Amino acid sequence: MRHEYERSTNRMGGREQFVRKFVEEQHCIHRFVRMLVLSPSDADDLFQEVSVTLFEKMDDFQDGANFRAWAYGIARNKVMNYRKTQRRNRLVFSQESLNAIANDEERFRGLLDERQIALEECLKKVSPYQNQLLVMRYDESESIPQIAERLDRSVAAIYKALERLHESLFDCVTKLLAQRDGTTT
Amino acid sequence: MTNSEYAPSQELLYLLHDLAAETLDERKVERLDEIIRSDDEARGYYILWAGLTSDLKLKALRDGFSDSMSDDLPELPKIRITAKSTDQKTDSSRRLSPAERNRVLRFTLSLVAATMALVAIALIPVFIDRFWFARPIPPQNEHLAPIASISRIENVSWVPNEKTMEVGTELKPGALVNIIDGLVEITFFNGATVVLDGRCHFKLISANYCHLQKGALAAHVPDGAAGFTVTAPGSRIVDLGTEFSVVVDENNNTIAQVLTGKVRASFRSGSGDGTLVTREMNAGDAIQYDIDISRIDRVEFSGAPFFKLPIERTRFAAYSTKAGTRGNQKDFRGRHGHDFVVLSPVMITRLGAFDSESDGLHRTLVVELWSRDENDSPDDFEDDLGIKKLVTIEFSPEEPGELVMSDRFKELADPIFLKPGAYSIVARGYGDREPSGNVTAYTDEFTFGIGRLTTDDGEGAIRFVGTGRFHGNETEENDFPRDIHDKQEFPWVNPFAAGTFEFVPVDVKE
Repeated sequence: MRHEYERSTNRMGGREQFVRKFVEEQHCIHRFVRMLVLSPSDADDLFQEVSVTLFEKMDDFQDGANFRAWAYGIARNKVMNYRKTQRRNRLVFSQESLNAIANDEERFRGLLDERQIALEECLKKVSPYQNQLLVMRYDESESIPQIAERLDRSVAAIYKALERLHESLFDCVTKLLAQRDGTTT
Repeated sequence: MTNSEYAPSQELLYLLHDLAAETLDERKVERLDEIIRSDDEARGYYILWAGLTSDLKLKALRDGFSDSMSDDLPELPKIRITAKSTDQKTDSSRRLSPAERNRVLRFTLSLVAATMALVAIALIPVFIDRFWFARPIPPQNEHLAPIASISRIENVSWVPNEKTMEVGTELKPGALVNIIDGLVEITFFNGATVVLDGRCHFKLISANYCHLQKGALAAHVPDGAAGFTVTAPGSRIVDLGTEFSVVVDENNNTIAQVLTGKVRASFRSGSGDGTLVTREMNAGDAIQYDIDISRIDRVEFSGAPFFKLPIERTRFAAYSTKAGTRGNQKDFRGRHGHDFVVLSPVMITRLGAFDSESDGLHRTLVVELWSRDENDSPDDFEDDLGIKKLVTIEFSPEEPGELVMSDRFKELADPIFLKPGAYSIVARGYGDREPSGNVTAYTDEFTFGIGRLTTDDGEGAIRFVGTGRFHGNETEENDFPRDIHDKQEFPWVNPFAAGTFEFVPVDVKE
């Protein structure tokens, strides 16, 4: 009886640890999948699959184990399987690039986390028009032609506006971190 | 190095914009793959870029960019997620619409919440303020090992309320050394020594990397520490086995000189993500970098480890294009104009023309400076007229002028004095083999980002106005271009990489 109780308690502890780790790492997992998969919508699908798989395998997770390595391993496998299904349309990274990106990701993880925080500041500076674009592009996942149609603008204008928005957010984040680190220009 | 030092190529930027817009085709994917595979820094940049788009997507899922949107969400599609959970394959036959995908993703996230509640109710208070994409905590340096220590201090005045240090104080990554006066020597554990002299704001980044925000330093780097890097605003000096000094003055301009050995010095060619210009410097070389105009000049070598040259900024380039920029308009042979208003008198010293790819001119270009009649409506540029062509300069393949970033400049025989008023700079002659740049032009081949273009108002002497003007007629030489871009759609005051000018603000005594 005592043995059963301990096993049950251990499992519960492992689950608690799992959930704690998942909450901490889910953002990184999405980011990891996103940088390996060129299609944003496919990346979202894969992230969803990875999350579900992780939960299905929750009991396999050992308390104290390296959650990140485990989750990233599952994510990487999902991406590799996805790549096999996408070979025909060739809109995927080569195996060599995938490996290089996956290997480099760890080196940038701390910086990426810092950039995520800085992005919140930069988003406060976007204009109402830019915010409208963010709503359509990211909240509603509208394509550029769809946004153009809704706003009665040309596709080129929306493309340029989003290009400018992404670039300014990227630069803003970079500058914010540089200022914070005292490496401002 | 940190990736923020890296300036991506224009091609990489185009590809990343296409990636974000989901307009990559096979050819572009192949090219992106090639760049990422072969260039470590480009790969790092890509990773940060992918991070940005992921962050935006997850913010949309977590908070939404519009509060009202989340109120309108229909019930989450539980059946679909259950089906997904039993079938791990990506099945294109049942792909979700974007809106459905968002709802499913949100559901995936709420699934975690539900599971968490079931398995660990007691943990909720712990997670409550960190839940859904909890903001990561920036790395702290208290757990990091020291990388250097203070080895000498002479007559130091510390900045009030800043941490004071003594000989033997160990320094960890992120440590700041902020002094008003005196001398501080820091010995890195890899053998490199840095001496700070006078008022300095200095930061240790890592075991082989530091940043001088203000002040003067001299570095001695033994062979074993080669690669030791000092960054300063807009510049980076990488040791190749040497002694060198760096001074950052009040205006953030940098002077680097090599005492022995050699260094590789890189300077940002424009603000933000501008490309880097790299120079290898040998013993006896001294370079001054003016950050505001991204100009690099050789200066006299002082021979002393610490020196300070007076830097007086006098000349400004009104419109600049980052080095190596490639134009995107090879089919437009007409005129490109930018409007500006002089607020306080300036002297025009040089006119300039954009040189696509900074590789010399392949067509003859003409740049004209016009006075402009605002027609009593300074905010309406459509009715403006050209009053007078004040000066014209020709830029030929044989005599292209001096290259500054991606612009060629030629001196005016007689500088032109401009009193306050409205003016335009107009360029023509671009076309095949020498394309202009136009951020409003969208081509299948590639687009042209506004990030390539900068303006400098000479500390408020001029104001850039309008949205760019153009005219398709290349034959009539005296035409003032009167077509303008729609402000709503194309709001930029500097949409073209074409004509530019250099000017000097002038004090006029009443």
